[in-house]
Amino acid sequence: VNRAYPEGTAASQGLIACHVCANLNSNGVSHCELCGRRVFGRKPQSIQRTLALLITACVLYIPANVLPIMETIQLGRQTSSTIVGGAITLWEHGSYPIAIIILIASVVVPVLKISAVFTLCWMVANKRQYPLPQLHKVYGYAELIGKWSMVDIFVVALLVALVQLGNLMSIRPGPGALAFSGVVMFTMLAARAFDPRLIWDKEAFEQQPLAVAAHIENELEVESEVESEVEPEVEDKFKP
Amino acid sequence: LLVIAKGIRAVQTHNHSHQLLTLGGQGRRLACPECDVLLTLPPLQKREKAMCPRCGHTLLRHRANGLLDSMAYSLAALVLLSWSLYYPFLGFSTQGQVKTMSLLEAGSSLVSSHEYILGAMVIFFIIVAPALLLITVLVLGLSVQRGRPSKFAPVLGHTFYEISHWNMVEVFVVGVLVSLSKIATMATVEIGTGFWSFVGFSLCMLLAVNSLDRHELWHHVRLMKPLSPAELLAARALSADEGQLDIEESGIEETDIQENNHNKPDRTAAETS
Repeated sequence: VNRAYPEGTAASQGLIACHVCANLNSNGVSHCELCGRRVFGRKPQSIQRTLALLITACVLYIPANVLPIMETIQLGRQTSSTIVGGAITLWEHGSYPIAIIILIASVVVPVLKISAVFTLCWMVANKRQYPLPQLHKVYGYAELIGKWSMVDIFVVALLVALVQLGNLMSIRPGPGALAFSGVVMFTMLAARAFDPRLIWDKEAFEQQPLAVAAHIENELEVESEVESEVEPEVEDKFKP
Repeated sequence: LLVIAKGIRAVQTHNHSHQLLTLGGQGRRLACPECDVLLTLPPLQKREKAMCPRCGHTLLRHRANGLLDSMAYSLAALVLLSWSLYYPFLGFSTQGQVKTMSLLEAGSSLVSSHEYILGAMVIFFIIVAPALLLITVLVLGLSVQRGRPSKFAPVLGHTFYEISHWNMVEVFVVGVLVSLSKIATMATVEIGTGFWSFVGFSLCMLLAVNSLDRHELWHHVRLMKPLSPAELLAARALSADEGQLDIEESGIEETDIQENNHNKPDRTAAETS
């Protein structure tokens, strides 16, 4: 039982917090009393949705890496490059920092993110205990790094717009680009579908609510007693 | 624009609505959005932020003047965005042939090479989503400033919440830098006015989003919500009490203090309701 949080969780007190406006709603409310948004104690079927979106991202990850992300036409000669191929070409040309940026953004980040969210789902669904703060950190990083994988897509978009000189030199988007942006979008959606409060629900809070409720009631009683003691005195002073 | 906003703020210093503006989320009871633990936000000093003791999530940052700052940055960002849409973004020349592109072409050239979904996504992530974010901040901020409830406040608040995850302006800036160094070996690249205004836009965008206090904003929406009949009665009684207070302030001090003691609980109750 954790003693550091005397008020317990919103769920243990029968409250539902709105994700948009942070208003605390009483239990059983379907829409937030302040902003009117649908509220849930926990996101419904969070794990299932997250897993479905993650599997979609995994499936898309194969064409994203196999199909060319862009096609270059230089003096009538057409060459197509995949994500990893493009990074390798950059490395061979000697522009190491950019090759590293591309590799991190397009290979390391999606793989890390997909595996991180998979681990979270597995650990939350599992009955065993895990170090919760570390798990929560994993979630925080997964949400933070998600959108940075879009760098490669933006590079393709810019090159396609800029390098349009007909047969002399032009760049066209490849089918891999759409698949890769799908990977990024679905991993972002998966991270959003995951409810981080599920991580913390594994903490032993079950015995806490009753004790806390009793504690608060006692406090209230004391307060009301104090008030009832004080008020008559004040009124007495007023009367004369 | 920031200077203008600060000027407006200086004029409003004695305004009652402005005093509410500095309230923020302090003293509010809320559940941490990431671990659901119930907390009461402490008053914050400069450069302080409130973090959840259980999961470390940042709940509130100290902002002297969050909403007004955010509005000023939003306005500046919108102006800079329109500049970067209007002026040439990048130029590219090799062997006597020159090609310049605008910001919009980053998406539209994808569409013209039959990648419709990709083009729409790029335009949404770098132009539509940030612009919508800024407009919602401005509209909500203006309605708060005027102290008049906006019918669309909840809808705008929800769009802000949904879109804020899809704003990829800073990622695009990194993308521009990467592609610049990629082409630099192939040809001469000219950086246009549009690019510099886009960099300014992304900075202002970052500041606008960072200086906005979600709790403060919703606190105002809560205050501006149309009152129920019971609340209206309470508010009328409150204003009547305040009227008495003003009269009695010129009178004997002792009664004044007693009145204050009587009124204070009522007033806080009415405000929280």
